[in-house]
Amino acid sequence: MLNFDEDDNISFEYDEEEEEEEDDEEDDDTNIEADVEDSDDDASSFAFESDDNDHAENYKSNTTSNNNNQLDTPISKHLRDDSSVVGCNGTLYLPWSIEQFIQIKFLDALDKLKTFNLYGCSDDDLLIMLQYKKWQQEEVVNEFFDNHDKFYKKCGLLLGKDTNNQFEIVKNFSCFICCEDYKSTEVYSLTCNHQYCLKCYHHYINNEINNGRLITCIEPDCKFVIPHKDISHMYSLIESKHSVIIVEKTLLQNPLLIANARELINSKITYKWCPATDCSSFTELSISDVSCEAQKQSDLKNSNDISKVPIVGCFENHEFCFNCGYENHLPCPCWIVKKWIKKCEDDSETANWIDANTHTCPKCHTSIEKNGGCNHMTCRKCKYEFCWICFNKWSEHNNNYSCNRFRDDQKEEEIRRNKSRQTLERYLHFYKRYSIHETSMKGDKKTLRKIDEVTKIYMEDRRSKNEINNLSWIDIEFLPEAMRSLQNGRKTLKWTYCFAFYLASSNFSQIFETNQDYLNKSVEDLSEVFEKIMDKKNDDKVGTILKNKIKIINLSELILRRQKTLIKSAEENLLNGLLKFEID
Amino acid sequence: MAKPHPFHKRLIKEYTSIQKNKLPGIKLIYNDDQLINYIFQIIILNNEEIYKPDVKYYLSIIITNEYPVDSPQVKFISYSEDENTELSDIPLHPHIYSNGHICLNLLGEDWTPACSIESILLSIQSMLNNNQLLTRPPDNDSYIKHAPLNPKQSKFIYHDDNV
Repeated sequence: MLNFDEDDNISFEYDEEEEEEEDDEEDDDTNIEADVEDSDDDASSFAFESDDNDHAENYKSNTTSNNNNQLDTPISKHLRDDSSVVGCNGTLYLPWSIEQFIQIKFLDALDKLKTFNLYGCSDDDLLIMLQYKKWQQEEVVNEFFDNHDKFYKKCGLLLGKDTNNQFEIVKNFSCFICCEDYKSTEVYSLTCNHQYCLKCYHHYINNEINNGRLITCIEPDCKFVIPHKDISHMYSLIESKHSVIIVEKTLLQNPLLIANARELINSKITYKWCPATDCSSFTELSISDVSCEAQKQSDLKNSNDISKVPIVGCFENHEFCFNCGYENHLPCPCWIVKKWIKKCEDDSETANWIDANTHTCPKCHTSIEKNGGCNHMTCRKCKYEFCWICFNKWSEHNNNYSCNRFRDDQKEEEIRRNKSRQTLERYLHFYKRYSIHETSMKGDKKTLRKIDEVTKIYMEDRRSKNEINNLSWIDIEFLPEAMRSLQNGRKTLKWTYCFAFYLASSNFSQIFETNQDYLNKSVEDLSEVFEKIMDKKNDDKVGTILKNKIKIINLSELILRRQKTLIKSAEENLLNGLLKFEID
Repeated sequence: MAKPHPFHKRLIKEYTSIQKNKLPGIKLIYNDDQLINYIFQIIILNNEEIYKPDVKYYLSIIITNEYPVDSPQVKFISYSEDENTELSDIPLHPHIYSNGHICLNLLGEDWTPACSIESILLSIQSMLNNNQLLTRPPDNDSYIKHAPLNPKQSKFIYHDDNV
């Protein structure tokens, strides 16, 4: 929802700046859009969220007013380079969205380049030149003045003449690529006039675009480059076949620019994509020296110093660890997380279970679980008959219980098996709790979303009836804060089980467990309050929220405090060596 | 019968053109009904110092499902047309690995849908015709140890464009 809103606005911004090229119709549209938004402006004081980017992801909707703010203050986009955000444990980072990236790295460069008034270059040409030179506008200028003709040629542009790129409908066309004969079809060609049907062109571009590089004419030796605008247009035309409306994409939504941005982001170690599902934003780690950072990251691999775990947030406020690309996993250090995830994913535990609960057939080594009955076993697979106790052939078993005589080597076997049974139980204990909290997080999210909806509908209703005096948005501003602390509290709690699994037991591990219990209690308490609010039998949902306001605020602060205490004390005790991990 | 290739018409057209043009030194010796799998026999005629003109090489071309947007899978194979002849060799060339994989930019970056099976055949033939070195690529040993069966899955490093 948010993304969508923002796209609109940023594109609107862009439209204003670069309108020359767009047709007039669109101009009108934007104006209308702007009007609508202005009239909406009244709502701004009731916004659920302030624009300091500091709220739960659940609350990222319906913030037209915020976007207007951003629009009024273009500073927000130009000051990016030194406006790092400090993460929850002191990591400096910069959250980005793809649109922002394109705007700042690509389109701002285009604007700057335009001020040079390079002779005879259209905006399309400039974009191609910029992309060719990896968006370094100084280099474009240098090369342009250095050897104008050569540079043009290198970029696949036509010198001195207007381009003749055409979308046209032609009759009796036979496409060389798909070899279909069309009575009438739409074709595309560049100045070179190599015509191919639109379907093939689209197919071709779709395949090429993933490289994020400029795309040339299909003809093998033809070096003409397809302008960004035409790629957009082609996508719009193809998409319009599935819907009635043709939606022209702005430069911010340009498929090639997006692909190019992705390529650039992937190729730099200071950028990382947000790992959250459906989140397309990414984060830049604010560091001065890249090589030093690489060293730091490799140090982190085995370090127990969790104050150095680079927890960052993305544009949509999903917290994650920049080092391992996983969600915020404090209080666990990265290497423990890695071990745990691997343990949970692979079947090492299944193997443990098999070891603890089954024997293998002495003849064919198939695993057999004995679920009752007598000790005379017959292997289903090889029909071998044996004794479950001593594993000898049953027929040699003249005196049935001769195998009851004690032998030393069997004792060792027994001890080993018991041990692996214990390890398994221990693992299951922690894993169960870990996964329960993971599921609860999803459940909470659902409840929170519902509460969000209910409140919004209620407030809108009130506002439209002008009953706003008794209750304003400010009165329920505490809600998003509480929801976020519930989510984060649960996340921390979830990871304490991974932490505890590897923890060697000591007096200090008991302190850790006590902290864990406290956090667990507050998290469950708050979750219960929210649950009650959304109870089906509860008719006055908003009323309940207001009634419980103090309780919710207190609980959410308690969670925050307990979470901090837990992490802080884990951090200190790990550093002092009072807490230790035990890895077998 | 299996589903025809989405660009069946194009494949038919290419097939007829291959049959008609009869490129010198190149012979189509096998293709399936779908026109997706081909085996060509190649003889190098104009480079007698390096390749004897009576030695036959065999090239397998498999059309992918994304063809013609995506390039086909092309490699040299050890093959014999009947039981009495020995399996053929993979031609020695600084861009051809001993497992038959070919490092040729037309098959990777430079492919466009306007290229065809014939253009591949021609460029491989010319690659052999102009070769002066009877060697394998410098990284042959390390490459074939880990090479995937499908050469398209390898990321080739183009060692030397001048060869």
